[in-house]
Amino acid sequence: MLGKLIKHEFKATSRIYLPMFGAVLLLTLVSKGLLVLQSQISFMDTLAGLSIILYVCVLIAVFVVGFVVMIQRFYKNLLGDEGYLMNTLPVSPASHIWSKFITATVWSIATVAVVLLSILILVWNREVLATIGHLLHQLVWMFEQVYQAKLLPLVIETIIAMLVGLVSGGFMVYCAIAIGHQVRGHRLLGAIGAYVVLYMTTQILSTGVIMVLGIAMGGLDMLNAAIPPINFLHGLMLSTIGLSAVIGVACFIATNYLLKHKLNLE
Amino acid sequence: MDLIVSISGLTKNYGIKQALRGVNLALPKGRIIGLLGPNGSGKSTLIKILSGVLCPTAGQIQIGGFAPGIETKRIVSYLPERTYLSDWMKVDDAIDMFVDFYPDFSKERAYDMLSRLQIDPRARFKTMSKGTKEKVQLILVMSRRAQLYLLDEPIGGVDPAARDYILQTIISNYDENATVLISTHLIADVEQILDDVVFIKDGQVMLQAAVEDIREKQGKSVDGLFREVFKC
Repeated sequence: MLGKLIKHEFKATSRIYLPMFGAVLLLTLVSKGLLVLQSQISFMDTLAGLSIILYVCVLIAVFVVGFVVMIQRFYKNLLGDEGYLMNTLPVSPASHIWSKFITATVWSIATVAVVLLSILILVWNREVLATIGHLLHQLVWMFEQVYQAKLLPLVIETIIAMLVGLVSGGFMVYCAIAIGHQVRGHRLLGAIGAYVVLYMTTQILSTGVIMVLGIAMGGLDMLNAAIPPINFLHGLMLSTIGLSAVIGVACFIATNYLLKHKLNLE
Repeated sequence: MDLIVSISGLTKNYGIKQALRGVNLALPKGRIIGLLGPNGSGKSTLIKILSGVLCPTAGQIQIGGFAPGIETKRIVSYLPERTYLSDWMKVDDAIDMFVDFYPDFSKERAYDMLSRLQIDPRARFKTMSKGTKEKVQLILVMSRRAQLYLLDEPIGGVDPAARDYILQTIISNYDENATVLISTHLIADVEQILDDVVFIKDGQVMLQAAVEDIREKQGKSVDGLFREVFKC
């Protein structure tokens, strides 16, 4: 049943995302065209400048729209009027949560891919790419000189921490909406309040973890050091991953419980 | 007597307001039952709890031997009193969805009823009137071979001609073992198709009786009895 839910979820969301991606790519090509013309015709400057401003605004808007759609699909489709259909399908609440989450994740990845592609098209020329490559190379070299250690493991840890953070962040949004649903008459306000509380709790927890880690790894000595020791950086990344995972799992369990035992479509 | 629904001590509170107060009710298989009561008596609340979109505060519910959950949703076909179809969808999309999730859904029956009511399956819900959307929802719900149909105010928003067709649809889809629970306050309109009635007031069941008994033993119509019981 999860597969069918995902299928229908894509059907419902693709009519928003696909035109949006199309618009981004179209705008990219127009901006690129204006940039090329600008180097040949002098009075094109203003137009090219405007199109770049518009382009940046659209890129920001794309991410905002993605976030709003993710919230709306959960809130309206499961807990609004459409919930009268969704919640009477012979499907478990966990499948509903996963279908929303997986679909939103795929669209987020697609959004990042489209934006990267678009930026690549816009700045595509050998010199720029060579410069970026050179800078990255230097950065790696400097880090490895200072720390006398490989950078790659830390980069991998950082990427994993970001991914786990995204997953748990998504479940936190769902959890906040499900908690807000319990506040009769003020569901939206309840959801925002729940999100603020959840967010602050995770911030306090992660600060606590960093402090404990810091004390365990040398305490004050570390503050006096010019750079934090490499072990501390690894510890920081791994504990961030662990904490995010725990928060994500807790939020999923809470959301599932609320949808299963406390659903109230009035 | 074979039961499809048994409810005991069912209570539902909305904040401090009690919508249902210790409802005990047994619904047999194979009957068309009217759930009748004034506005705000708890009809919708009871139906929503049976359909699983509302969780009770206390009490037990069994539908076909299961507490509300995936198993009961497989055998229950629910028509809510509001529109649950997304505006951007076409009738075809909604039918695809029902085909995907309910093995007991008959596509042929759905398209047959659509053409009878002259509704274009390629039309988007955005372009439809509220009454037409209600008709589509009823068609979706009645095209299933469910064991229990929960119809919350199925004729409230449609014109009298469509009302007759809808009631006819309900009777003609009547499967011997299926039970249909219809909530309404338009009693005179549904009276002729009902086997049993349940009167509900202030969240409590006042009376459960066969329509035949009301007519023969008390010499009254359901409408007449209702006016008597719920006299203001």
